[in-house]
Amino acid sequence: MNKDLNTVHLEAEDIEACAKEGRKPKATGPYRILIGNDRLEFVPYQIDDPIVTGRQLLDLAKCRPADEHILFQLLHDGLLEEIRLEETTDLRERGIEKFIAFRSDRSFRFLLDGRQFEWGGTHITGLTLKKLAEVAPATHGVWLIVHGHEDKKIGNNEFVDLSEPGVEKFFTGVEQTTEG
Amino acid sequence: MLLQERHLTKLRELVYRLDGTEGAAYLLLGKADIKSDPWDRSRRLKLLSHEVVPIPPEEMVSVSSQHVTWGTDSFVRLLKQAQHEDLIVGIVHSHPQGLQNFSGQDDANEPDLVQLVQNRNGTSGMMASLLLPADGSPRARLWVSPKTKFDCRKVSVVGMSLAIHPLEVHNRMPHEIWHRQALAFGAALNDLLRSLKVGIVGCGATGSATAMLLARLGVGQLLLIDEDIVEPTNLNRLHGAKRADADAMRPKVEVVAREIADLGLGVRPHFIRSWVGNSRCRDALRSCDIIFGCTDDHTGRMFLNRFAYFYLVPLIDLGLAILPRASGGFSDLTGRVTVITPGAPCLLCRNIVDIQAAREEDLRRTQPEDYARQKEEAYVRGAGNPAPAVVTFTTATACMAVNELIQGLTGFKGPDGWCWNRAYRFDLHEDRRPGALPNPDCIICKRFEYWGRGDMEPFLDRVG
Ligand SMILES: [Zn+2]
Ligand SMILES: [Zn+2]
Repeated sequence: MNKDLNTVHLEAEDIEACAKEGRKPKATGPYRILIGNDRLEFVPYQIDDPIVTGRQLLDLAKCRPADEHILFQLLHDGLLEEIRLEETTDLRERGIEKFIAFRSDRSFRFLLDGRQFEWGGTHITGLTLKKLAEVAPATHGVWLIVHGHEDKKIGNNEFVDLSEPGVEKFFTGVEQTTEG
Repeated sequence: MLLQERHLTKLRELVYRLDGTEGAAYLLLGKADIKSDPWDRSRRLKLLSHEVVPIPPEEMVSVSSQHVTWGTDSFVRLLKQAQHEDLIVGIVHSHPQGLQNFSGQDDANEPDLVQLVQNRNGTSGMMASLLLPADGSPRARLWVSPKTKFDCRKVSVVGMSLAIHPLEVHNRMPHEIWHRQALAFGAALNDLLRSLKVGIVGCGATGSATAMLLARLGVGQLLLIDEDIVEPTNLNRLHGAKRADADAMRPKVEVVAREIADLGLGVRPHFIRSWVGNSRCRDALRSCDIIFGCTDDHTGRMFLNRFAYFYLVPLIDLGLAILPRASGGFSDLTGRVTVITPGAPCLLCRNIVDIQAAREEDLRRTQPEDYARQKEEAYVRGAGNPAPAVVTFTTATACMAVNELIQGLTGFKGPDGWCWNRAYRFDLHEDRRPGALPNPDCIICKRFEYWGRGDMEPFLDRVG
């Protein structure tokens, strides 16, 4: 294990760093990735093959049995994209190496613009909420209703913990308006 | 929509910028949800300016003489406040280049904001929009959903005067009857008077005179509130009352309404035989543009005093003091007209309402047995001897009051608007303007929480 880590340290390609520096990741591994749990605690892993399935990643993170979990890839803009068990993703293309695995045996309920939603994970990002509300992410904001305080604006990449007591209420709306 | 004058001034500063570009601001509005207007039985919603909220400079994105674009973060904060206090949010903007009405851009963009309102506060959430064109009348509308809006029939500005901007004039009066009045003030005043809804609380000597004067002036809708019947002792000064009315013990409101209808001027009287504070009167009072306080009861005055600030309905309160001297002459012989509206000191601060007398009246109304007992034990003063009254002085005071309304609408006595308190000493031919020493903490007239607050629980924030 220690040996592996040393190897990773010396050779593994940090894909996010590549994206930041504007260069293409190496064509071959190993690659450094992060897999987080439902509390968004991320653990680093290294992987040789740039093309991986959801099942492989869940195995790597010891999320077993794999079919009781849901895996999301965290995209740059804050959106979570589900990667199904047999679906592959190419680590070199996305420019990001963060994944989140949720247990799929429980779901969380919240209200968004008065509509009820069920969500498989404990956390959800602002951008995902906007997608669910079917509003244009660039022009709309999303807020969490907070009692006794100001409503909290949720950034695109910001996570809200849905597992806290009570049903979260969100609403969306234009961030800017024009009168002529 | 009713705007406090100080709000309009502030809004003009915010939406007209020195460089000629457009500006925008927010407005929180109270509401008067009138279930049934007494004259046309329709449901109406009056919007009352309660608080102006500037848009933080950092949210301004871009402005030109043609448009203004701003961020909506502070709008979201306002939505929360609106929901908590049951208020309506409004946006305000200008058209520096002179377009008189809402533009296509406004029509296209406002639904997005309405959607935001409803996403946060539910589908009952509404949004008002007020346009202040460079020259011309303010225009307002209310969105009840992103697809449905209603134009406000009129925008009134309440303060030093009463400026009313109707969208269109209905119910024009027969021209020839008021032709000679138009020669004095122009036809526009006649149209305006025809559109007005005026309350008269108390239909005794001053109230009946005020009502008959307003009818002949051409006010289209009159509300009469009084709980008393005609008595023989009223016949020397109650306009329109006949011997037969006293014999039949007819309610004063019924008699005055009959006389107004008999004039055949197309004036629509509506009467309620009740004490003014009774919840039965609320819809009718909230429908009024202005109210004349012609009552001699102190609790009624205290009620109307609050009402004027909550609902932005100016109150013109009348009073008469006749104090003969035993040695001859008068120690006082004064007709008083007081205007109560946001910006003016209230009746409490003017010491015009006697709080002790009001308490005793309350007791007599709500617990007559207790009142009788306390009166016997001399804990309350009780209704004393009848006050002196002379029809010429009561009627002259009514004339002063109705002239104050004309002043508020036309400024014929000068551009400064209403005289807050006018007292005419009949025997000395002296016109006085007694000042007040307002209580700096007066919740009614010195602080702003109640101004334009509109409907709330409990009504007028009064318990009991
Ligand atoms: Zn406009
Ligand atoms: Zn006061």
